Amino acid sequence: MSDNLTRRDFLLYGGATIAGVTLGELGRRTLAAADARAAAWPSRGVETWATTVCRECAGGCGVRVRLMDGVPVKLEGNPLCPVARGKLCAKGQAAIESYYDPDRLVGPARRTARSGQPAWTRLTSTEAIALAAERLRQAIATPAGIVVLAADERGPLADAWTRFWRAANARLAWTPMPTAARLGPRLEVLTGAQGDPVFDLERATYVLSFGAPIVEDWLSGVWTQRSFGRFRRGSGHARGRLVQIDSRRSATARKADEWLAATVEQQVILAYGVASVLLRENRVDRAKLEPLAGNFDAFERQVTTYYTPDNVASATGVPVVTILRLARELASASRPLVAVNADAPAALADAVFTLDALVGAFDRPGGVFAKTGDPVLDRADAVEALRDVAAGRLRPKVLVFGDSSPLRALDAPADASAIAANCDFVISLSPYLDESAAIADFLLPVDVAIESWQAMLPATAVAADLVAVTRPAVPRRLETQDRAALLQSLGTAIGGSVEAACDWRSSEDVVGAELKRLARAARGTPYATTYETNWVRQLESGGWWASPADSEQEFVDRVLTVGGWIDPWFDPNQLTEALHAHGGLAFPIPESPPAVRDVAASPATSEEVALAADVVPAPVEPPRFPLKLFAFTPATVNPAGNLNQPALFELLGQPEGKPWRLWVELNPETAAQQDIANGAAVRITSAHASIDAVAVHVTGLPPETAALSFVPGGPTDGRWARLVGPDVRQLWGEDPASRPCAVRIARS
Amino acid sequence: MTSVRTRRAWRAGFVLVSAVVLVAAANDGSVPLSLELPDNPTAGAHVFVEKNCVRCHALGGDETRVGPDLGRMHFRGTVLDLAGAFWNHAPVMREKMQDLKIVPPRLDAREMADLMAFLTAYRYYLTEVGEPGTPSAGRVVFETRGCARCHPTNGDSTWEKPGPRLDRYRGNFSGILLAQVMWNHSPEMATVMHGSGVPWPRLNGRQMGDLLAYLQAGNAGTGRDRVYFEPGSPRRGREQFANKGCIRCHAIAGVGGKAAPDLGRRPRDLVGSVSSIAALMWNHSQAMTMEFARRGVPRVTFSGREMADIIAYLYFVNYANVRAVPAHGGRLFVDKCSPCHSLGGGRRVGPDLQEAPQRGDPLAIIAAMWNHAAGMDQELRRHGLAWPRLEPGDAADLTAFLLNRRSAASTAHAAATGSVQPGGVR
Repeated sequence: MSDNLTRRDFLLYGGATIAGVTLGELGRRTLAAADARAAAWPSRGVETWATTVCRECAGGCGVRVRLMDGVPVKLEGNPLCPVARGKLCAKGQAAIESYYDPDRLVGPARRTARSGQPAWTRLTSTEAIALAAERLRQAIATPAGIVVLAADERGPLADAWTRFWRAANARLAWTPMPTAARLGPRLEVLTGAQGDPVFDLERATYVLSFGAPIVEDWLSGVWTQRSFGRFRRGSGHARGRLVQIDSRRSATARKADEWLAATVEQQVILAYGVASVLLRENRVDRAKLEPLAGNFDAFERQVTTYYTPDNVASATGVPVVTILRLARELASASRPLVAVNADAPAALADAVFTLDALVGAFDRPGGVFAKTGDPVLDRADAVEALRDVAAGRLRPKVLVFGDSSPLRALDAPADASAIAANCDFVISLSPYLDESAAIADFLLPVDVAIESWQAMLPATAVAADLVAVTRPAVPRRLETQDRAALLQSLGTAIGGSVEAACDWRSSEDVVGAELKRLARAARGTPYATTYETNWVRQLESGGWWASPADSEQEFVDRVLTVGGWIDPWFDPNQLTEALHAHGGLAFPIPESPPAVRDVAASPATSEEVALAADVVPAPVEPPRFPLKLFAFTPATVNPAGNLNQPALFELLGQPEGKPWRLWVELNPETAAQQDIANGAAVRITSAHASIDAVAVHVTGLPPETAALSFVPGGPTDGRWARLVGPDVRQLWGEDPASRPCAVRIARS
Repeated sequence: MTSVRTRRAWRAGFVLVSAVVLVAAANDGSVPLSLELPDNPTAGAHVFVEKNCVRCHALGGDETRVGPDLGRMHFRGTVLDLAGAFWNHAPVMREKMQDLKIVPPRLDAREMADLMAFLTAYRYYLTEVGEPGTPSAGRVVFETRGCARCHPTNGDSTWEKPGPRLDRYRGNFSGILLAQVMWNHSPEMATVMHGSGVPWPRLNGRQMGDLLAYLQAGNAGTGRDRVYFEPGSPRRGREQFANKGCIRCHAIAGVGGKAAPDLGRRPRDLVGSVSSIAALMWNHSQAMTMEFARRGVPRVTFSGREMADIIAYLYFVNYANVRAVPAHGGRLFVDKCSPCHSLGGGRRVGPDLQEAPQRGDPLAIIAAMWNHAAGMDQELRRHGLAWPRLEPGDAADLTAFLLNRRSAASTAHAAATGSVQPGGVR
């Protein structure tokens, strides 16, 4: 002890130490007591999780529902689902708002006012079924007396839907979903392979994308975004390069290494222009192409003759050096992939698959594979059927809407009242107060996704066979009905062949039959971790299969618990085999030289410049509608589901910060000419109508074009949806909204 | 009464120890270790995931992980050699796990057995990881080995050739099926070939794999058309081996007939792929047919599942066929373990291994070694000692030594209490 420490100091320090320890202990005890009280407090409730499938798009992502005391509070991704692996997009996350939507239909009802007027009378289920069955019975005998429209989906429950309506002699039509299935027919034309293309984005090293919304909702949104993540920064390879050719600066264009603005028509020309350079510079693997060449010589002659870089540059505005560079980059990449949007017109899809063939992407890692299966027959387009009804070419006695997707498709007629006028009776099965409900005479709302039994085939993205199967995650909240049970009740009431077609009592029976089929298939496994799935794939590749369960019941329980079944074995040579059977590639022969050319926007050729020097220009009156307007559907809009989701409206117009509004994208120079500031309110006027929107400046957008967000919905879609804005399709009038519309834009 | 029991126990112990000593002396000091064949070698796949092995090791995948891709390794040795390799990589693994903040997995004897069997079987089931067959090479085999002389191909008429069309096997993707069909119909084939003057084709594993790939090629069907076999059970295969009478001619490690080669002494041939085992069976099927005829016994045929079991047994026959030298194990113990552990001498740095519970079989000992590796590594570093590495055979010898000592100790214990415990040394 130091000589300087006095007895007083000793007592002082000792006392302070004892006091500190005592107070510290007291504090600890107080905190422990508080913790104990908090733990005993019954505020947390009981947490449970249930499995379901997201139905906001055709991707079929597995979802886990978090329930507190049995009440659903949150949706998360199912980590065992091979599509999403625990991830979920904004639409999937927001889907819980559909369950709680305050404007959801509470039960069956009958319109008591004329069509379009919101006056309804509640019915009991029994009354509703009897009434609907009576109408259907009367319509069955009439050819095309029943027209049934719904979103295109595949799986046992969709098959049951189809069987029922076929037995009722109905004319069935579907709204095509933006999945790989839409590209299948184009791939078949080129290769003969009957199936959906599978784009191996993850293993590609260079992607040339023609309008494919890769970071938004391409083919199967969550799967694609996961693949994009690996494409960019996956282990074992360098960062992949993405070149986006798009008509607007989409989120994908923002994330791409390079964005080239080109309309869809220009994209076709650009694709053949790149093909032309590949062929002229002999950058295709002719040795590989030779055995599968088909009509290659004719194609090469046509493309190299007409789609010269000069011609293509003139037609698209993309400089020659850029076209040459794109072709050389594509040819020199180790695993190039050319991608296209599912909604692309046939000409563009043909051009893109042709490029894939030229760069040897078929049946190659980082390329394109085919997933063949049972051919899907007779998928009539619901929009076509609606146009027929609207024009009076088709006058069904009963029009049935499985959901609102046909009316929401971008090309659907904006005037729904004409449709209602040409039908005797309209039935809507949609659970929401949406466009179909607005024109329906009769509402038979079905359960929403998390209340339903599910058995659907997720859109083709994973190179495997999948079935997403779950039981209801939560009990029914309102007086809605199970869709298959509703059909069965209608079948019983109608009788005859319709009744005979219903070999189920409810969706549970349909799902149960599917599960038994899977159990007997002696292949695949219930959804499992990545490694376990790979293990099964490798086992099956060796000719082995180990049963995942000791009994059929155990298998059924496991599949329902994990949310689905997968057979991960995949034949990677299906395109090659189809090509051998098909006699080689059937290249599309572009019929004429580039026809799309906008001299005002494109660099003039040297001949034109010389010609112009000699000619005194006549005064030209400025056009009334100088801008070409394109409509695009933002990734957060779900045309097949419930629109009345405030969380998604909050994401509209981001990252520009324009939520809850329609917005129009303009080149800053074009906007400056009209004195339109970024974020200013503008009025868009076409020959048919005017609407208001917010202007957003986008550098790089061609000066003569504008892009307008399409958010379907309006006054009928619920309290939040009606805040967003009018139906933009009225600008197009009777014209298809997938084509550009001539407009003028001015400050409002 | 007690003294009589004690004397009996001592006598039993003396006889047991003498037997072990005699057997050891008769076999240059080596003794067989009692190890059970796996019943379901794929069960370890679940352990591989559950114990987080999958976070560091790929299995024949194209993903890059921290640890080596175990699917690229071919474990040809016995289960205890594999366990030795497992032990040797423990310190490196521990460091990597610390980096990745992974808690080192603990394994019990069953999990260790499943994992070892799975890693051993991996290459066996996944022929594609090793050497996938190529259809074009298979076509060459089909034509040059004389198959095309009897079996019509796409351009031939069926009546021109005596053999059936092989299109029916399209979609049947298992090498087992090919092995089964070829084996079962080899006598008829031999008759036809003899009549036609075609020599009996000999095939190696590679050629058999190519032939299978050729027969599968051109099948445009989907997964729905495929026919799979359940992974064979080595344990069931052992029963088949006895029931079908194979053991009358073939011995396994000296047990069985002497007319044909001892399959326990041909490790290289039997630890290839399904194709290589199938090729081996095919090549000697004629000699076997003749031997059957000479003995006047009917020829053995197999169903698909029986063939899967038999081939799995032949693959695993050396896996559990372990001989060990306890004396060498004793020296290893002194060199590598005794600085920290005693046998009956009480606790040192580590526990007395004679008193450690549940160490009655070799895999339980290996699992216990694995589980204490993390703590042991720290102690070794603290004392400046190197990690004791085990060469091939060392794990078996050390295990045999420990089991012997425990057996002797339990005998002594039995002498004291009047009970007898089973040992792990046969």
